[in-house]
Amino acid sequence: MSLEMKKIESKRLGDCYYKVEHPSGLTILMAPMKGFSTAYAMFGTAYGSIDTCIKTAENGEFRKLPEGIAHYLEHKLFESEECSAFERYAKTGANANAFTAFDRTAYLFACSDNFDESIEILLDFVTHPYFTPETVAKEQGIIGQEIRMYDDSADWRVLFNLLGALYHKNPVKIDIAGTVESIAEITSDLLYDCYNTFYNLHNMVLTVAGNFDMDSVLKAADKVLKPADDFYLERAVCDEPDEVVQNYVEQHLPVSVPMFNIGFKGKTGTEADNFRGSILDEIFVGALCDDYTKVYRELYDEGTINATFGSEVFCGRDHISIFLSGESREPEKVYDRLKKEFEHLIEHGIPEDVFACAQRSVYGHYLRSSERVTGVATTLFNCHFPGVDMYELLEIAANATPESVIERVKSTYCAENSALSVVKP
Amino acid sequence: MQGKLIRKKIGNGAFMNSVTEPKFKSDRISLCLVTPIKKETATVNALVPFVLRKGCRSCPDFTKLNQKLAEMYGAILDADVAKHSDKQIIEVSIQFTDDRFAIGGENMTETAAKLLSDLVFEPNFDENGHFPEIDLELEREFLIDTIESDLNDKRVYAIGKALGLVFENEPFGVKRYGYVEDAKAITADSLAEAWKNLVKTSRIEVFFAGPGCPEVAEKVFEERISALEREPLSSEPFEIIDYSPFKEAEESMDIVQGKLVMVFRMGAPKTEKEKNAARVLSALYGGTAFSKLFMNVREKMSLCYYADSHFERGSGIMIVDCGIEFENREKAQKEIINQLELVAKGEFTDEEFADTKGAILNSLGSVGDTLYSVEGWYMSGIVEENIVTPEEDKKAIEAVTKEEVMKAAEKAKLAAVFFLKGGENE
Repeated sequence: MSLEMKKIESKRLGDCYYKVEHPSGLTILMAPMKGFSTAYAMFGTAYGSIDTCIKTAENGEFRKLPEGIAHYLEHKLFESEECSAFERYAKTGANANAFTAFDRTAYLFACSDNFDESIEILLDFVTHPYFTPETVAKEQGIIGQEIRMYDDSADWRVLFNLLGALYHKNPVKIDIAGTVESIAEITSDLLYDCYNTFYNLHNMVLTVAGNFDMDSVLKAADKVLKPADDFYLERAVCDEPDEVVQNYVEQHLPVSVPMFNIGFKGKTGTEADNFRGSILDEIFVGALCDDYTKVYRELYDEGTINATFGSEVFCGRDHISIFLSGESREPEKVYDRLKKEFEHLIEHGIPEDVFACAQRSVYGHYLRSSERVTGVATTLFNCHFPGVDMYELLEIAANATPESVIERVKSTYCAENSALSVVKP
Repeated sequence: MQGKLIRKKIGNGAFMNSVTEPKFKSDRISLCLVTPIKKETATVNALVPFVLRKGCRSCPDFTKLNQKLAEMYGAILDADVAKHSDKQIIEVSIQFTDDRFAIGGENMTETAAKLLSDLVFEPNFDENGHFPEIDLELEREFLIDTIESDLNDKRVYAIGKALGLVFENEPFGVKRYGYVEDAKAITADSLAEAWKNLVKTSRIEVFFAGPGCPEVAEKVFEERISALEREPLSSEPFEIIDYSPFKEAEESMDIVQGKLVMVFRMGAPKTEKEKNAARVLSALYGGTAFSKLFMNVREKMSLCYYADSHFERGSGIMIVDCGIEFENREKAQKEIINQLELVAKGEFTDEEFADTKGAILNSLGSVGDTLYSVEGWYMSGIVEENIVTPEEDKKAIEAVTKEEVMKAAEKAKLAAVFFLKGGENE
């Protein structure tokens, strides 16, 4: 069978990748990279921890799913009647893993040899679920320990406490793994139900980057994948207000220095708007408080922040926020100062020299991600569901202006809609 | 010589190392000062990279320095201290966009190399020959926070405690960032003295990786180093202790998951053959998702989410750790010991053995694919004065026999157990 293969190029990078719409319904994105020894493949679905209320028929009703079920499903998919996927990968030497995020789940492997066998294992085990009441029960202990590990993690707690302060209804505030109580409700039937809903090939993508033969990928897809049925899925849309729940939240845990997360809550657009906009937000946050700004220097010289200070744009299907984090003995002072600077920038614009620093830093960041096999496969994966071309990210950064950044931030954020989360000893 | 290490002497006890690879889009240069780790100097040496990162004579202002880096398409400047076997390594490194992608056709390599050289060798001293007072104050505070931040990650904290039990008076027992009391005692004089000593006596290793031209960087460093007054210390031989008396400790903290750490002495593996057998053993025992610990302690007994083992070449020990319910400690500890005994008896299949080696070979195959891993791989060989290529290492791993692994397991003796449990903070 000959398939249409679309080539997508970046003149700026001198790189390209290929897109194939496989007859099974799966989109396949492939970026062979010359000179590299490793191949990295990701196979995943637009299904994550936030998908807790869905309907699967147009005239059906919305149903609630237990918190943490997407992550539980990820764990259980590694098992089959004969042996675990890890045992199968053991024969190829590939380093395999998986993760569940807020709005996606991915199964992946990295290898420097035996790619053909590994890609077949990946496609095969993800498309062949096997759950029994016994195997499901066994996982309660393992995931229970994973949840407890996160309960003791100050980094994790400070983040989820912030999400709880920012969001009223958005399920992004729910812990990805759920709770020991919520996962107790999970049964093998419920797992099959979620699997059949979300692991439809029309709702999935396969991305591969590095050292591999594209024909091997297509051959494995032809061999393993069966055409998927028609697909109907509607996710409950939450009516999230612009305002935050509370401006401050704290928790006591055994840590050496207080840790903080500050969040500026954005108005969500479509998934693609959020994704494209996040590049401009990254430039903005650089201009707001990266290490070349006056504010950073003042806070640093006062001893209020240290080298652990950093930023992130938190972006997904129906959420976008700016996060700033670090250690501080006076987190309120950091929050206050950054809020003021946020307002100042929106009102007065970004000075040219600061803008140049911020723009070039973001540009360099995306440029560097294109020289890593993992970076390319991950970016292809992340760009697929919002429907954005991978190379567009670098162009958005290159073409940004101080005005376009401010306009975007003004329409999305308001300094007041923000919160501070602190974990202190 | 694409992808191959080229090593040249560029001064007294100073070396330029480079791996050129056109597939990358950025270059990375690291300047390392390698010195024996000693309890008395570890802390003050650890502060040196933090103050060097703040500026230099050619660019004394911290904000201007960061602006300069940002304009270099967000060049990343890292300054940190590392510990490798009996050495302490002060490392300042810069990663920057290669000349080919510089919009204005700038010579990025030369700019980056000069900046790096200025930062390490031409600090922004005041008229008294001291680092700026504000840098000393702020970075000393940050060093103290960094030393104490072990507590933030309970897994790291518990491993640190277990290693403390094992290596009381050995160089491996010296902490990477040193000690709070010593940090408090650092003065402007002692800090400047530490820098002078490092520049004078440590082995200088420059590492270049990327598509660019290492000769450009080499010239910069060669010139600078030739102007330094150098008296490099010869490296003192050290011995790995084969066994030590068993020690055990517990601590309580306000946490919900217990952390169990078990440290094994491996009978001081000396030859490469012995070390490689210990590496394969550790992978078979608890280094993969099909290892003995993963399949039994996690999958069969559902006791934990992770149960890993890790062999440290430099100090010749194997660390096993897992996160468990407090009341499962005995059960987990017993099974961890049991699995090691089974390996020693040869209770693993040829298939498991071959698969384990396959997993190691696979990871060795990816060493050349990031600038960071290329540097990490060769720098550890350089520091240990035993440089091998990943290809040579693959052959050595392939040659390990089942009997050698059983022997390595047999020689493993439990040296310490540390358990972090719930309750009131102690």
